[in-house]
Amino acid sequence: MLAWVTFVAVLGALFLAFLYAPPDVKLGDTQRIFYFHVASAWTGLLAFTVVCVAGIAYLRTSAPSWDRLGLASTEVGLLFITMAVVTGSIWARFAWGTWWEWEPRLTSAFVLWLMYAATLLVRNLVEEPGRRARYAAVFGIIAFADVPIVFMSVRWWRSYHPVVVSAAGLDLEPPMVLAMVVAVLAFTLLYVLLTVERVRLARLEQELAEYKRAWRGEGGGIRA
Amino acid sequence: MPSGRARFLSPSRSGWWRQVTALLWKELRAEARTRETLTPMVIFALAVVTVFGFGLRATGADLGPVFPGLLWVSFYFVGLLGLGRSFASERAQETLAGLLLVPADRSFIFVGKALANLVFLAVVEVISLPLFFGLLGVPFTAPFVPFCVTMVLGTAGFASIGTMLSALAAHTRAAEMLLPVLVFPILIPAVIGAVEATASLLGAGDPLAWKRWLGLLLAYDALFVALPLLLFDYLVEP
Repeated sequence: MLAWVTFVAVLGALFLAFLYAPPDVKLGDTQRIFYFHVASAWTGLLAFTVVCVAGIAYLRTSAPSWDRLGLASTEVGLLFITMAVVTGSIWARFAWGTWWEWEPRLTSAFVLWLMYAATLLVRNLVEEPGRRARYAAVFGIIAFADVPIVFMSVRWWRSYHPVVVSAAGLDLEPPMVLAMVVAVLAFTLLYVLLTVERVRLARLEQELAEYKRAWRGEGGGIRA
Repeated sequence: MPSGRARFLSPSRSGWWRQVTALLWKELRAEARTRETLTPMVIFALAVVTVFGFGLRATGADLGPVFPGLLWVSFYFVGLLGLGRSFASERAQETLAGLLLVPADRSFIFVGKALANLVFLAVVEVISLPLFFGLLGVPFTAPFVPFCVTMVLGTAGFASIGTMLSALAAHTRAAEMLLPVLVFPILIPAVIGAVEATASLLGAGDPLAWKRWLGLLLAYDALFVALPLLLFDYLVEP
């Protein structure tokens, strides 16, 4: 059911972004990537919020389901934030003439990417499951707390290092606003769908690991 | 028997603070005896200055705009070397269990080690700063007290979050490789604040902006001392 709704939403977003919304006055059709850039950046931030909340919940309850949510949201979030950084870079190339710009939002997205990657590394490098969940939760909380400070400090830093190009202002006409809202909604639904599936997969993985442990522990009880 | 200092503190707090100072004292004495952290850090700092001396192809006034960044990036890399060791040795000798048995709020372990790391970092900075300025030919034109305040604030947040993440990384495989990956993204606001504050003091940036950057550093330090205090317990649960 959720998959169908997501499918329709994404189709709708594609239609609105490419066919319905008018081209931008200054940037023409190259502006259309903006809808998906904003949508993926928003979803990436949402996913990281979920990681932090799941981390806090896990530390307080020690329930594995919170850890699975944190894991799923980290992986799916990394996907979306990668898209955000890549689309941001592509847009920068066409809007500002440069592949990268140290402006607050793009830079913060990149830092967020680094934090996601670090969280995944922590998960991969800790062997014992209980410890892994705790460490990932703690790091997720610390990293999330840093995100607003990173954004603010890069913005301050920018005001002291003015660059020739500045963020292109966009006049959003109503059709463009609609396209953007639908794109954000579609990507959020996609995030929910992927995360739910990943949580289910994580639960199956853990059950399988437990069966394997039990089988090995009993020394062939099931086979005999 | 409570010491003179403890009489001014409430009974519950004096126990915790005594543990902190005991741990800090133990770290400092162990280091004074073996110098296993400070020596590599100082030598690494010297090596960094040497490499920069050759690699930068510029000295003195030409270095003006980049020198504050050089300084802080070098200190953070050198510092990571020392931070990595602070929990690694506890793990190797399994003395962490002993620390966990102490009947006090476990955050004392974090505070004691963070303060010890701060002292080590301060020693390395005091030794390296003249070398950086002298060997790279950059004149020291900053007002002395504000410069020291900047160094302290830039180092304190790093020591705190670095100690915390060192405790985290110590129990993973590839701990030494993981620690920089964990620390640097988190450290970015401190890098910005410390470098810009130093730049404004050395005349490479807006001189009036110093207070604003210091404000950023203070906010960063406050947050990343408070957060580890809250979360440290979850890291050292056996």
